[in-house]
Amino acid sequence: MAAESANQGVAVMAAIARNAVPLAGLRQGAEGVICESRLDAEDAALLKAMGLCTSATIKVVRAGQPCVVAVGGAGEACSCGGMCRIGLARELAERIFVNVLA
Amino acid sequence: MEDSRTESPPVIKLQVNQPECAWCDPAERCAPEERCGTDVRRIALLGNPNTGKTTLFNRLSGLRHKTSNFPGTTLEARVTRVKAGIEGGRDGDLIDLPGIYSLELDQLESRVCREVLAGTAAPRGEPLGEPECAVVVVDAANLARNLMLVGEVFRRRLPTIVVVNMIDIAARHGVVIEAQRLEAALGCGVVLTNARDGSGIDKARIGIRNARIPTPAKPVPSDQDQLRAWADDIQTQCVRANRGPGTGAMSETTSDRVDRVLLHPVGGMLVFSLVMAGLFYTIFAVARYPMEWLGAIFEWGKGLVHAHMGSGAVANLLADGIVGGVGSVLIFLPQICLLFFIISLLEDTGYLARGAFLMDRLLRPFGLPGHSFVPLLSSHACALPGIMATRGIPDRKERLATILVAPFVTCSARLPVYVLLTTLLFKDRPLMAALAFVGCYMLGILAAVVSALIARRTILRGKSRAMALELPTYKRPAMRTAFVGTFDRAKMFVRNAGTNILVICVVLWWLGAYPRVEAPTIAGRLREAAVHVVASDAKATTEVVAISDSERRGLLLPEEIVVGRDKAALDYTFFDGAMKPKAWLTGDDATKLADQIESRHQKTHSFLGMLGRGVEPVFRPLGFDWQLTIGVLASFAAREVFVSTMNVVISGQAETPDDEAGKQHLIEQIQTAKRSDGVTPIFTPAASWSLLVFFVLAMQCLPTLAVTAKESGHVKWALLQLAWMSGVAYLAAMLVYQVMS
Repeated sequence: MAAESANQGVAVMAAIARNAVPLAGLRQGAEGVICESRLDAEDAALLKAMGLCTSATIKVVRAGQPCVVAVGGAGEACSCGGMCRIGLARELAERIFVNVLA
Repeated sequence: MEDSRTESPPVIKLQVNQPECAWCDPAERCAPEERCGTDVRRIALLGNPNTGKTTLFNRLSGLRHKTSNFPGTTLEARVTRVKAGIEGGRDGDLIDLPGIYSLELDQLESRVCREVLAGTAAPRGEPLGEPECAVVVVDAANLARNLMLVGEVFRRRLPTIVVVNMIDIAARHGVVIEAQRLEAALGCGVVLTNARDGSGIDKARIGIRNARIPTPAKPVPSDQDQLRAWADDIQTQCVRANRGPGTGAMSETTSDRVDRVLLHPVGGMLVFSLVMAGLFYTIFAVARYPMEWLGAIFEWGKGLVHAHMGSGAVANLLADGIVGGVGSVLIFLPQICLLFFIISLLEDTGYLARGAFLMDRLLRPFGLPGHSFVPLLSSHACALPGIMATRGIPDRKERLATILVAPFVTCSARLPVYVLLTTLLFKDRPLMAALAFVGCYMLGILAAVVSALIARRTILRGKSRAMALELPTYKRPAMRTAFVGTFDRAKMFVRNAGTNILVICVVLWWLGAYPRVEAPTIAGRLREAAVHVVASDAKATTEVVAISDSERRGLLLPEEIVVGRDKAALDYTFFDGAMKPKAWLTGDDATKLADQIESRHQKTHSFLGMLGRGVEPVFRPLGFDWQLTIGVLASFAAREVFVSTMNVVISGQAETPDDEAGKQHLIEQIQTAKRSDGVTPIFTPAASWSLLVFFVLAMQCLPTLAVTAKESGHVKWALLQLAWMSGVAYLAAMLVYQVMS
């Protein structure tokens, strides 16, 4: 039962990942949910602590180099209250994958 | 906006019976973790970056804090004695920890915070031990993420208080914190503050006194992902968002609109260039005036010492060694104060984080982060503040690389040397002299970035971390924070000047001033003649001083000097490169000449002079004779000393004359000065170019080495800097000399 559920989870994640686009490819104003990051452990841990973790909602405030994102969460209770802005060098933004919402 | 709580925090009912102590509130029993009766509590202050932690620390400390570092690291640690809450209690030592996003990260800052909370690390000079209270500063506008750090601190089971800061900015965005709900959810004291205007600070003091081990309504999960859910849940309970239409979460703010301009590849660079030009102008041009005043004060001090103590050994040590030596370094204090004041203002507005991103593109190919730009730019004024400004670079290896290469860029102390040498090389061609000047600047920058690249590929190898920075909302800078930060840096600089740099200056002065040698007889005869003619009543009185061939060796003196009273009748023909058999001098000029001869004689026979002669073979491939070698060695105290040393060695004049004719005269003397063989000029074009390249690249500033050792945390980095820069300078200068000659 547990194995079946895990397999379903993997399949869902793979489906999400298929539709995912790199954060660096989003236009200004685009919103999305982070679904995957292909960063090394240290960068991933730092970004996670900054609020850029899997399932976090983001909005691209400025596209380009640096890419500036507003970090949110679920509804009003978002991890950064929606006011937190994180600037990312292109190398990082290219390795973070997002499911586009709007 | 709800104000901070007015009631006392919830009292934890303790089962342990413990006697009341004289320091705590008699109405409550002390928590067993508190060491009652000890004089001072240890309090750790921590929080995310950009939460206003430093502003809060400054509010609590005023100017009364000590700055040190955490042993074995270059991380700055500040400790202040916090007076007890306004209604009594115990004093505490508040330790300002580095800003971190998480205690669990594999980063130096996180490790230091973990160790301080565990009691296994403490700022240098502070006793080890677990803190009795943790103060976690959180940003009211970014509560959930900040609460994750709070949860991580709660796991340590330390008495804790949460300070929700920057409530004004949160209120502007329609975010209201329900303090009492938050307090109930966290099970610890919660205080709302705005550290910028000081509101809530007294309540924070009381909160620190009453801090207890937290008992959160929901236990803190051990898993990091669950901790996020825990933090989000608390935020949902305790934050009301009163946003107007079109101002939902993540909606565009004024800062976002400003950022579109300030981070623009063209517009942003233009603004950044203007801001940096303003910074550079301020530390270069505006600081000049207070620097001149300081210089005048030190000169006055030297004069005062000589006036009261004469010119004995003690007076010379005091006036020239201590006042003169330390004065030559302290003169940079205005530059340091202005630089750090402006940097602090820029940082507080939030602009410096944007600037770091802009410069990252430029510096990243050389293994340096965008944060290195301001230290490198500041080093163009003086490497000392430049190296001190590297504290803003987060990565240790990148910071070390910046410290190592910062002295390559042309500092203002090199300018007099550039002026002298470019004037010698291009006497009547100001355009070429200007181009050579610019070339020196470019060579310094090139050497710095190439050296940084080499260091990052070898001894400081490591991944160049792509930049991820929180961009704080733009805000008006807090003057108080800027003043306190500047005062702190100035205090450190003065302390350094009063200790390490003082010793260096005294030693170098002593090497140049001792052993005392007997003055040459010609000086004595000139003085006697001067005294005689001045004392004489007759206007036509003259004295003839004959100078033997042996006395004239190495000096540009005629065979005979006539010292007379009547100035109009005298023909001042010294050192004009075409000596006449006779020269006329007034009594005063004869005395001056005697001083110059004595000064030169003393310098060339001092330990430094002996050293110059001793190591001359080392510098011979570079085209330097023993006189130039003395100048190069003396300039290790500070580069600008080279010009005055050359003046003394060649002409005996320590000061460059103020008037144009005097300057020209001195330049001519230096230009025509000969080596010991009496034929070859000291400053041949090849030697001048070689010397110029040497001065651009060489590490000739012991105060900088002292600061490098301090800021890098180990003397080995200073030695490496000395070896690398000297080696590069030597090879480059040798190449130039050998090719040109």
